[in-house]
Amino acid sequence: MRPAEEIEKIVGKADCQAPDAMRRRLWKDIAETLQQSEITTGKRGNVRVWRILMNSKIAKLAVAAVIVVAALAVGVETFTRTRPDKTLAFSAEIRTNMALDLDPKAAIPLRQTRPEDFDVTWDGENGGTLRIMPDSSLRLATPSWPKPEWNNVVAWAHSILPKITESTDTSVSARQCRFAAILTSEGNLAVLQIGDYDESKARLQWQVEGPTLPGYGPVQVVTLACVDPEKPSAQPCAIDFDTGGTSVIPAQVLNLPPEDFLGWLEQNGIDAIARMTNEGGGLTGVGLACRAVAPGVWTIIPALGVRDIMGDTPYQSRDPILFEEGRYQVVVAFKTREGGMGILQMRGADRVGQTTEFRYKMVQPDSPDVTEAQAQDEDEALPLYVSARWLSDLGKYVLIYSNDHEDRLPQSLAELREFADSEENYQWMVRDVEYVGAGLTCADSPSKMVAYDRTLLGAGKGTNVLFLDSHIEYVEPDKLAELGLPANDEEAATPQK
Amino acid sequence: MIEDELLKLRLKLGRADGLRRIYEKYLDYLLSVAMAFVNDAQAAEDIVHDVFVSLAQSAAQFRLRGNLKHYLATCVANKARDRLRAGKRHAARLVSRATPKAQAGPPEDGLIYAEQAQQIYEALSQVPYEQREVIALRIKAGMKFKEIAAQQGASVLAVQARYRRGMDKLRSILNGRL
Repeated sequence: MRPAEEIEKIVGKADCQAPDAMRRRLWKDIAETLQQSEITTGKRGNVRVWRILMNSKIAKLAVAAVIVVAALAVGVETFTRTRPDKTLAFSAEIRTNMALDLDPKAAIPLRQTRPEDFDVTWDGENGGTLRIMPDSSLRLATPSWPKPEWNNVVAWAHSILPKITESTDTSVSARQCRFAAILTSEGNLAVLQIGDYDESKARLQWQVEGPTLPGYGPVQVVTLACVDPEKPSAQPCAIDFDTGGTSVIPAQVLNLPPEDFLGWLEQNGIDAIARMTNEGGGLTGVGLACRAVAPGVWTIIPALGVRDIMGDTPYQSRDPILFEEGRYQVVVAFKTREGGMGILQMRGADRVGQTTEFRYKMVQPDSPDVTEAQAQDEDEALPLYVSARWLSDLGKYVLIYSNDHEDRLPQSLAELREFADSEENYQWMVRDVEYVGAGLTCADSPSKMVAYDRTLLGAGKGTNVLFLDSHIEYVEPDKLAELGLPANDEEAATPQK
Repeated sequence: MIEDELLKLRLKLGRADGLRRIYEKYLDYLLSVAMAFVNDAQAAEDIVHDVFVSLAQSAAQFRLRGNLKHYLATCVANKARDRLRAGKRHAARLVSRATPKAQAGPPEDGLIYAEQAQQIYEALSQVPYEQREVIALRIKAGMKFKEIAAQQGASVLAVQARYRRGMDKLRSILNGRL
């Protein structure tokens, strides 16, 4: 028999080639579709939707029951993502007296007949209003800032997940806002956009996080006394993340030789102990694999993302996790010896009281429980995240521009206006971004700085920087000088490129 | 990777040349992937055609933050599976051991592939579909088991088992033929 590797090689080499005639023929169809799609967006889909609806037995039953219940999903696509969660995206048309199921059960959602499975309806109030089903467990929230954009709404929706269960909104008027975050009948988070609409119908686009994905357990905020062999504490100074239990370390154990001390910690399931050193207060892991992710992603990073990070990364730090005064605290993904995973973030270190405080949440594969998570201070998280996302967009605009201009970067942000997804996106760049890429070309060093967020810089806790190779990096205050950036915006002058 | 990021952005911006470049870059690749699924030149062409038409229809709303190549391969897998489920007529064709129809239609308009490739596609068609899908996505598309598991809605272990069983079957079929 042939070895498996050889079979793999043979299968890998089994290639096809399309002759020129086939290439031309296929492209002709595709180009026509593209042109038609641009002229009559959504028209073809609607025809198909109505054909499906009118052929459906369930639709006929629903008509007979006066209420037309239809869930129409067209063009179901699976998208992968910066957030590694599996996300399903849908678009459908909804009409008055129709109900729509937002959850991704299948590509043939009409199989579900129970009205309680359906999530939203449409009526003609205020020119067109989307409502969640009355007397249901659904929750709806709408962004409050003017001119919201899809990317920002998605980030916002994740950030308000812990609070959405408290929302009392039951509808959104399309005149007032085109976006909504909805906690669906199956407990999933749907982010929805209202497209073209009138009093009788609306085109909806939405995405739903996969219902079978792992989630986080509740957020735990823990204060531990720092381990000090000279002054044994009666307060807990060690934690087992897998069980959530904290432990007091007996005085006699503190005086054991290092190897025996470590052995005692391992035998008792300890994952980390609190320490206070000259560098600051924090946690020292016991066989704990860690990786600093970035500040500001506490709410954003999905549980599946933590599994990806800790499962694949070849480098996992075992350095102490320290509270850093006057800075955004990094989020640290970790994995315990028993295989438990989670994220944690330092919240404070009291040198006088010899304590450290941190928060953490564990990945729970079998019971997504996001709604029980406590709302924490996310005010600093969202701006960091949005800044990184939009700087990333700016990086793409710069790439496109340079591709069209012989690898030369634009002289100013004004030249990128036509590439911006929206006027709001462009205005954000003008308001918040310091562009320093003028004169650079794609042939320059990839580590050249192209732009940075000067608003974040003004807070004095570092900022996000876009580099020539398009990657975004959060730069801490003490590293700013290496890039020629001032520690805060007040000192901002002309930075080095 | 950067080129693919550009292509995705161009497509999102509604530029026909973005789609054209994606088409030029990945047409042959996707046809190879489709052939691994269906072992039918005409069906493979139809599947790839449908994938690009869908892409053209949704170009304005296109949002993808993952790997473009894997995304396209997944679309081909979904279309192939849809055809399999569409009815007995398609199913019969998909699971049949029929000789590939590369010669159908004008000779200058048929899919071009080597004799060895034809034997591989024929052997693959004898492997149960779920196993075949894993093999094609793993070897032809270069996807990780984890990504395939997400696509199939199965566990990684189950996908790995399908891969092993499929490869064993393929090895026994090909043994002595090539």
